[in-house]
Amino acid sequence: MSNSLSYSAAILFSLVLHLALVAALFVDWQPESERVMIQPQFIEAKLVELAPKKKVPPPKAKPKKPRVDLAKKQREEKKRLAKIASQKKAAEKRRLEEERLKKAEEQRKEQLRLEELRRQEQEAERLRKESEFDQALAAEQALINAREDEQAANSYRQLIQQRLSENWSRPPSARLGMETLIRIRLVPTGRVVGVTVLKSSGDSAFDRSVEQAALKAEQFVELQTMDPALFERKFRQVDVAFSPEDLRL
Amino acid sequence: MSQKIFALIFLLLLSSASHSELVIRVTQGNDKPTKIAIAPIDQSGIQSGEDISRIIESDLQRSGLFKTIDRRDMLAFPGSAQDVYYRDWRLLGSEYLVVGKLRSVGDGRYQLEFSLLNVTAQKTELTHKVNGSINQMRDLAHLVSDKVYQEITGIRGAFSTRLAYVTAVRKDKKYSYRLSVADADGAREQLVLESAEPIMSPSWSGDGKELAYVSFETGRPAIFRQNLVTAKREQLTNFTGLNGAPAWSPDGSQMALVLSKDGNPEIYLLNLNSKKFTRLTRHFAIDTEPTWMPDGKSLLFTSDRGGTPQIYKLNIATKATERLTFSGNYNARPSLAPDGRTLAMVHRQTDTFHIASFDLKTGRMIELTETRLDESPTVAPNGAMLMYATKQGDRGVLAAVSLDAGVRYMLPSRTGDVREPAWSPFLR
Amino acid sequence: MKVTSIKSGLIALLFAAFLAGCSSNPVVDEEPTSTDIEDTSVQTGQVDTSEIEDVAVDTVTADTIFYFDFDKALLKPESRAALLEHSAMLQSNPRNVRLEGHADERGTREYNMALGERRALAVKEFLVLQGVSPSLIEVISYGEERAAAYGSNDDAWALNRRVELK
Repeated sequence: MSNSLSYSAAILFSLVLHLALVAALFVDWQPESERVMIQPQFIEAKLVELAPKKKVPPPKAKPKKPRVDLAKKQREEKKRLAKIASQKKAAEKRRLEEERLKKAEEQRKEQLRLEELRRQEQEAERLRKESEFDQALAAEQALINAREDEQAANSYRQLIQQRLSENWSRPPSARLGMETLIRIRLVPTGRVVGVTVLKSSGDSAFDRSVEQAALKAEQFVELQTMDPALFERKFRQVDVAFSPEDLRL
Repeated sequence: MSQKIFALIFLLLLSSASHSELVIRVTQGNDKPTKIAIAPIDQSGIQSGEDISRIIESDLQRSGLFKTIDRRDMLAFPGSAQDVYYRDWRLLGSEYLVVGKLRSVGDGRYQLEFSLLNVTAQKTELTHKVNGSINQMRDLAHLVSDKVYQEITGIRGAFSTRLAYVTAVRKDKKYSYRLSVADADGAREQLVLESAEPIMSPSWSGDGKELAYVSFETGRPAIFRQNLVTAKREQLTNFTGLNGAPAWSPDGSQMALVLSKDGNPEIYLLNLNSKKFTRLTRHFAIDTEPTWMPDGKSLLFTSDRGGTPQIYKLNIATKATERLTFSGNYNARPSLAPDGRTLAMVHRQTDTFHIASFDLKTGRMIELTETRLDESPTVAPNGAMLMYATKQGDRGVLAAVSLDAGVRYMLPSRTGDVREPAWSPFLR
Repeated sequence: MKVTSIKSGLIALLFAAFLAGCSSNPVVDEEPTSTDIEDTSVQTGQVDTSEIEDVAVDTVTADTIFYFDFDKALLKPESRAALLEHSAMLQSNPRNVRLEGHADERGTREYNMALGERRALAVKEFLVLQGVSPSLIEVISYGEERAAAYGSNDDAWALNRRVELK
């Protein structure tokens, strides 16, 4: 029986203690709660994880027999006050600890933010590098395509150049350094359908000799064997610069 | 950032490289005579005794820059551009075609209207009218040649110019010297002066109306000037010793000449208005054969002051002289092309006398002739050809060579020794 | 296929237009330029021959022709004896003489005129040094204008490079 009594006293004590704790929580934590409110969700979750484990102090007082005794009541009241004081102290301590933690948490968060920023930057850098590589690749591919085109076009160019050279009879007014730029318009049969002077040499006889050379060529029949796409790209209009290098003057 | 710039530069380079590759560059030519057809001029029954088309043909052919289409190959003889079927002429390989029509315009005057057609481009390049009398049909023809030549070659034609030259005939130990003027093609020779004593060194006045020359008619050499139209003559010098090598200044106001009255040949300047002589050279060597630079401020002349005859330049204002030629053991009788840069001269490298061209800018000497005993070069006023005297057997004849040595021809030979050609300036 | 035929049709059309544009002779609207040929016939001049006199025939038996090397005006040793004879004659029996200098055909005419004069002057100088009065001697050069021998060879040239005393 005494055993059950002592147990009930302990239960009562524990109950009071818990009530006090709840009261303390309600009284003291009120102002704090607002601060808690502004914390991001995941941080709160972490708080819950960390705080109650350590911070809830184990019940110090032993369960006592409930006895109607004034002195004992006064003593118990004293004890209760002291307990409340100590509870308050603990709460304060807890609050400071909370603040310290929060500060640490903020630092950590800032660090994370910076890390995230850095990561994002690195990602952007990576993406940019990737796109530049793609561009360079595309340019190289274009160059390769152009080269292949050039190779195909080159023999035709050489042919045109050779034929024009054969047909070009310079007037005696021709001098080294003169240059006439013409545009020859061709159709896929290789026929010359138009000659335009784009840049005159300043000497009309020289210009005319250039036009005559192109007109005299009449038709480059070999162009008929050309890939039609290549013809469209490079041979519908052919620009030719005539500039003598084999003259004495 | 810098990578971006690099990429941009790369792309730019790529695009510019591909652009320049697109332009075909033709740097060599195949300079062949231009094929031209001269359709027989429609003379509308006018009897002139001259075949205008033939004269044009031979003018153009002689220049070496044209090859004419044989008249017998022509499918039609159009008289104007409207009657031309370009395809016909293209089939003959002709690049150009000249058509023309002669008609009477009254008062003994005749008009030749002609066109130069571009067969290749199928268009008319020029149309021109020329008027003249019945005995000027050769002048009309030469004018057509001049216009056609200028249009196609870019160089003024010199077919309407003249030649003065001296012919010496020896018969039964007696000499006859004749100073004559003819068309540049050698036709229509006209006698300027005939003498039993030597005539030498004809020189044209700048306007082409007078000749100066040396005549021994007084028993000694003396310089005369003579108007070609009026035949009025004037003796300009009468000094002891040499009176020679007259050279009319470009503006016609002065004459450079050679006098040896002071003991040996020196270059003098004669003011034709004041008749005042100014001595320019002062040297015990032979100084002779002055010729004017186009600006009229300097003379080129021959001197053997260096041991052999060489070409020197003389500044008239300062009288400073400068030796120009060093290649060869005989360089004399300078004759300047109108470009003021190319000098023709008699040149002997070792033992044969040729005509050489000398580039005043680069100092390059090029032998132009392959004949022998070549002398008296005279450059046409358009600078395309030069005429000189040479020997054919034992006879003196006139020959021509282009200043690039690519074209040569000889003038039809005449009786006697032909020598000392002088090419007139442009006459209009 | 259809596109190609349209394209070739267009090209043919263009070409035809080009040909048409070219073959229609452009009518020269503006009045063509014109030239009038002036009368340029040449009149022949007349020489005044009144001053020319026939050269008197020389009575001296000694050589009257003295020869020179190419482009040179130095008297040759073989000329010396004849020249001495002439100088003696001219001093004892003064008369006007004429020294005619000549050159061969090689080289330029005006230069050869100068060369002929230089040769004649060389002879004159010799005679004057021997005591002949310079006022008796007239010098004239004919350059290459009056050859003594014809032909373009060394023999003829040697005969033409001369001074004649008349």
